[in-house]
Amino acid sequence: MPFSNLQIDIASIPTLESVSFTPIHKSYRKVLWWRWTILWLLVAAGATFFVFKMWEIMELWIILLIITAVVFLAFLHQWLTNLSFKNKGYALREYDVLYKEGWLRQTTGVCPLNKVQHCSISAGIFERKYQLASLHLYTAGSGGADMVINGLTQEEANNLKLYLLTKIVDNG
Amino acid sequence: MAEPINWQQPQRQPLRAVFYLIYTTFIKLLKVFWPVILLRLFRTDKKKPEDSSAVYWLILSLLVTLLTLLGALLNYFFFRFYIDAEGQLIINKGYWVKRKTTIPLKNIQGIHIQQKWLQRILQLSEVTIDSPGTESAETKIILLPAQATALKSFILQNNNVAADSEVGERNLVSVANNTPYHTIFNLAPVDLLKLGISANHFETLLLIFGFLFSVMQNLRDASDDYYIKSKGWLLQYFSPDTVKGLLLLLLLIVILSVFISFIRILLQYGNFTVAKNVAGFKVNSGLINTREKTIPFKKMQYLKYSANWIGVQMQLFVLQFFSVGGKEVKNSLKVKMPLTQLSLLPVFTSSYCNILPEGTGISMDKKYLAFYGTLLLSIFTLLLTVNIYFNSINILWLVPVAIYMLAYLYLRQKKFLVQFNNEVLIIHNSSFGRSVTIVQWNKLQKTAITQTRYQKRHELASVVLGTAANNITIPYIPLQQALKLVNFALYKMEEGGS
Repeated sequence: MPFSNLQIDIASIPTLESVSFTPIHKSYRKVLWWRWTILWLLVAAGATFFVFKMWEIMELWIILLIITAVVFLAFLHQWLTNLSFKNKGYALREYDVLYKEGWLRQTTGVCPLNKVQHCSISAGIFERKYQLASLHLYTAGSGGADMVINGLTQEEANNLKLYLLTKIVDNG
Repeated sequence: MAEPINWQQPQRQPLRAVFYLIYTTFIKLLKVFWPVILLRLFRTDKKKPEDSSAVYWLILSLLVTLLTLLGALLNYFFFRFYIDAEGQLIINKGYWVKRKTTIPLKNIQGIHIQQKWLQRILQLSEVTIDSPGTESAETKIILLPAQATALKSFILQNNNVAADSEVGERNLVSVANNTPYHTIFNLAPVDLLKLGISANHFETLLLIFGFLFSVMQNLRDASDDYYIKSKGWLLQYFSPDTVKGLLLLLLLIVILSVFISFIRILLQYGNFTVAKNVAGFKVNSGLINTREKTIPFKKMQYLKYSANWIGVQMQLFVLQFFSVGGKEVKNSLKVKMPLTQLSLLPVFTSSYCNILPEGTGISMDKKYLAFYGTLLLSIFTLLLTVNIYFNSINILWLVPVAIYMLAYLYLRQKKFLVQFNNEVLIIHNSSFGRSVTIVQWNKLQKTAITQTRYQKRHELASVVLGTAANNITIPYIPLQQALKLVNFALYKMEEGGS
């Protein structure tokens, strides 16, 4: 075979900026809300226990400060979760999968299909309640999943998984 | 000529391995029993008669001896290994908990042969086999030196043939494995001395403190009297309250740290040689416990050479290869090669890439310094304000720490540079010392672009490049350049195949 080493025009390479992302399912917001509720109920229970134990030795203003801090953090978390939800989205291109998330720190991850070693679907108790699922993609050498696409309907997740498995088999 | 070994027949470790197994089992037991022994040795209970002490020692010795022998013999008799017709290494071991480990030869990441001091006396070798996918991936087999070499050759041959038959390079790799190694690097005694000087004395210091702390804790658990006496004795000579005591303490710490660092370096890098053939590197090292590591070129994910400030002044760098696999595999394949001059670098990198990129590249934006510098100063000011308000302990010692961290941020931002060509990407990520990472585009597995709100406002971004070994982050570069880098990385990954 003749050796070739052609120069690549970087401008002609497909760009990340031109990708349009599909937003995740709206019901995933409810899943996030449930998770938020359980987390902050546990924190509230812990804080109540702490205040109850310290009631006699702690000054009132410190107790009020703790309660205010917990309430503030809970609302901040909820606000950031809502903003983050709006930024979640995924895209499937001919040669890769993309997933974006985050508001305070926006991340757009890309996993080339020829690098995916295997994939799996998971659905927690709240995801199952709203017929949702998450798709996990794994590449070589990684301890955990390299990309987790949340908020897919179970049908979407299965279709995506089947498509990816076909690609993995094709890539050998 | 010795007959070739049939590895398809289940093999047992050589009989003399029992002695080595007795030793390792004894060490394991000692680790379990040593607090009990310490407790008995330092116990100041005068009420107990001498007879009971003798009986105690007798029972303890018998128990340790019995357990040692039992453990070693069970380990010996229930350990079998063989290579099946499908090219899988099967290891059966254990009596109480039976375990069968199956490692496909093509998945083996590395094979190392080493000889610890007792193994040298007993004329034995230890073969360590690394495979991916399992965190506790290391498998160790004790063999006679000739058997160890034969097993290694057999696995290497089949490992590469299996892997390369997929890409049709069977003949080339078979030739590569049969090619003898030729030495490309020897560490001279002067280099060993330089390594000792530039060693991480601070790390040694922490190790000494950790050891002393652990001994004192065990002593306290065993006997309060001995603990108080020992503490009193230490404070008598090295009291930090007097200038003389403090100076003596500092001097002792410095001398001890440097001395122990030298010993560690000598033990680790004595007899250090690197040999190479078409398939990979072979690294031999160790003064007492000799170690041989094989690093196949194919398994290399990226390489990095670095030096601390002293190392840069002495032109003494450490080159590391990062390989695919779990934590233990990565650690076992991670070889730190001392580079006594940078001109030697192409000798090692030429097996990984052809041409290194040169000239200007992408620099880190000054906003990195502005952001982290402001964050650092804000935290420092907050701590100082709280400290002054509550009039509590003196935290002025934080001033040099803050200055050091600011200097680190400044130097990192100033020296950071990313260069790339069609084949590789080089990341210069240095502060006081120097650190350079070289990664091939086709070794990348995934990529990501991240932006904090601050970065977004200033049109900056960070790029994360994931390899099968680790993630490499390129922080605070202009957004347009970050996008170009990610697009190009994707193009190279998708073009390159799996």
